[in-house]
Amino acid sequence: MTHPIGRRRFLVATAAVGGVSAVAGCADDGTDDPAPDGSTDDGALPAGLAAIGGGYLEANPKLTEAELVEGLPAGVDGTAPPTLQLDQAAEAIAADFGADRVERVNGWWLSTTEARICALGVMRA
Amino acid sequence: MERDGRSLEDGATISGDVVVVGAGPAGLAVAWSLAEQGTKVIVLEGGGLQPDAESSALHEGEIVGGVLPTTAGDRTSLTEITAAGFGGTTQLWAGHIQPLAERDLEPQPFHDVGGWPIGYDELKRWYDPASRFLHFGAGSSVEEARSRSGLPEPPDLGDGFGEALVLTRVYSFADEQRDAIVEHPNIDLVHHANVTQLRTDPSGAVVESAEVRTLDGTTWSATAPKVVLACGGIGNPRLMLASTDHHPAGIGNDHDLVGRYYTDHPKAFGWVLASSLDVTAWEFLNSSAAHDEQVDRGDGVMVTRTDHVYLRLADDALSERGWPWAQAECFFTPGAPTDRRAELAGIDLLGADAASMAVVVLTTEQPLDPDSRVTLGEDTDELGRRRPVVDWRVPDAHADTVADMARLLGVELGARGLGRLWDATDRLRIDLGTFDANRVIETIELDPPPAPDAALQWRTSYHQMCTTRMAEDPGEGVVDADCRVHGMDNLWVAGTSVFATGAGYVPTLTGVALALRLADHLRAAS
Repeated sequence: MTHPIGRRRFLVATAAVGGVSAVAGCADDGTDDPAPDGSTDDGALPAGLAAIGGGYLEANPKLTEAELVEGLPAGVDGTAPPTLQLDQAAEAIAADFGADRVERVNGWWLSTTEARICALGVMRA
Repeated sequence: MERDGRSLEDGATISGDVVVVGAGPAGLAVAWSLAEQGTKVIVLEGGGLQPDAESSALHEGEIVGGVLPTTAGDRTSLTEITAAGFGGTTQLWAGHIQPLAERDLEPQPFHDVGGWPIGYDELKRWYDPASRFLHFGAGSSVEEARSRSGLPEPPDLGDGFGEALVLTRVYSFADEQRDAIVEHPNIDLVHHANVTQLRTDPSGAVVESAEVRTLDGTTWSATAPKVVLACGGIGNPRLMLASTDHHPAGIGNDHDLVGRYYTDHPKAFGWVLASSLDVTAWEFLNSSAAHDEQVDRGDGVMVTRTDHVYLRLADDALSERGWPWAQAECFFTPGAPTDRRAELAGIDLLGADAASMAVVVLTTEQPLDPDSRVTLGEDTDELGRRRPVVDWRVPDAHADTVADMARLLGVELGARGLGRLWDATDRLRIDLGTFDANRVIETIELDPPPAPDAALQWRTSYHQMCTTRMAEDPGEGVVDADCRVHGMDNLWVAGTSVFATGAGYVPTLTGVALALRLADHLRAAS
């Protein structure tokens, strides 16, 4: 059984592949990292994610919840807090960038998966 | 030896084997190299051994077209981007050197004219001598310098990003070079000697003299069998266009090309990087102590500023898309308030991992445009010379290319888990004169009112190139592959004005390499 890689650890790992010590003070102790912004595991949608989700929905007003879920990786269905879902989707997010599946939302160049997770969070909020 | 041109008698003539007009890095490289081999060289410099305001004012001109002014919106002075006096534009130089890549010399789809008429190997062999001339030590390559310095390897960002490091020395080229030039027995450096025109024989093919006028009102001339112009990307066409005794349109201008293709490396501001990179962990990029040590030793090695990281899109990625050379300069903002950075990185996708934030500047090679040019205006300077008019243009389509480049940069950074790129081109307005990335982060508006004109703002890199571009075909360029002016028997041009294209970044090393190559050619032709 494999554990979903923490997003923070994913960032560290991918950066380390490139020879960069990426995040100061990030201990690789084998435990799940705390939520990145410290306030997300309670299910609240951080303002930044809400803005991304809102922006994505504004640009895609006809998207239904079912269509959003359909485009997400297995197990990422909007039932867990968005920050955790982003962690779970880390590999899919990296794959999006690798395959040029990106969206420009509120000026940010983002992976389609992360934009959709944010949009789902807004719909479910 | 050196002397003040104002001390020569009115009507005098001085003679040598070669006259070099201009004491910037290219002119001095030609002069020094020839003098070392026994050639008697006269160097005519309009300014002094030290900068002075009166000489600098002679460089003033008119700016039209809207891309320049260079920094703040109300500055329109050419004296901001050129410099009179010994050392020329090195007075404004950041001390960066970087060799061009092979791709830079090849014909490119984004130019309507051909590539460089010389092969890369021919250019490359002059880089190490040029590096030594510029006091950077033995080798011009980053690898050699890194090896000499003992500094750690830089981070490898993987495929998609090319070598982006430049060698930097914070020093005064003029101060270090002055003694070697003025004490050279074969160099006659005459300062405060402004050339007003080149006089030719009746055939128009041979330059017989360089006519000089000083601010004291004296006029005299310098003669030599060979003449080299090295007055910079604006000064060279200015003098050629003003030399009309047997060339009504200016010397070397039979095809109306002198002054055309004025090229810079336009900088576009407008992106912010929220990054997982903790730049303080980049020991190689933060080795300021090591840098100081290197400078003290004279090895001249520093890779970048503490807060300044170059990301260069790989040549393969650019070629695949038919794009010109491009480089992203990331100005990290360790001094910006933490809460402000958190607010801006408030996409929360990186959350606490948004360890750093940078203002990103995309610097590119621009497509050549014949309408981007230097001409002569009606106003005259204190010596009666018509002042230059600079109309720098960047083709509209280039803005679309740069936007696509930014998108690619965002994708590449995201794919490596290095961060997310924010396109803030509609809200960032930068004053280069007071540019401070920390301040930009502090003041950028999240919800600005709609911008009336969200077009990219181009800013200068202080590079003036291609105005006497090199081409085998006289219909495409002003000088040939040996830097000799087409149609002229004894007139050559040195410096970045002979670049066939703007090519990659920081042109000083290549300008000096070509100048040393020219000196070698002149020696062989003797």
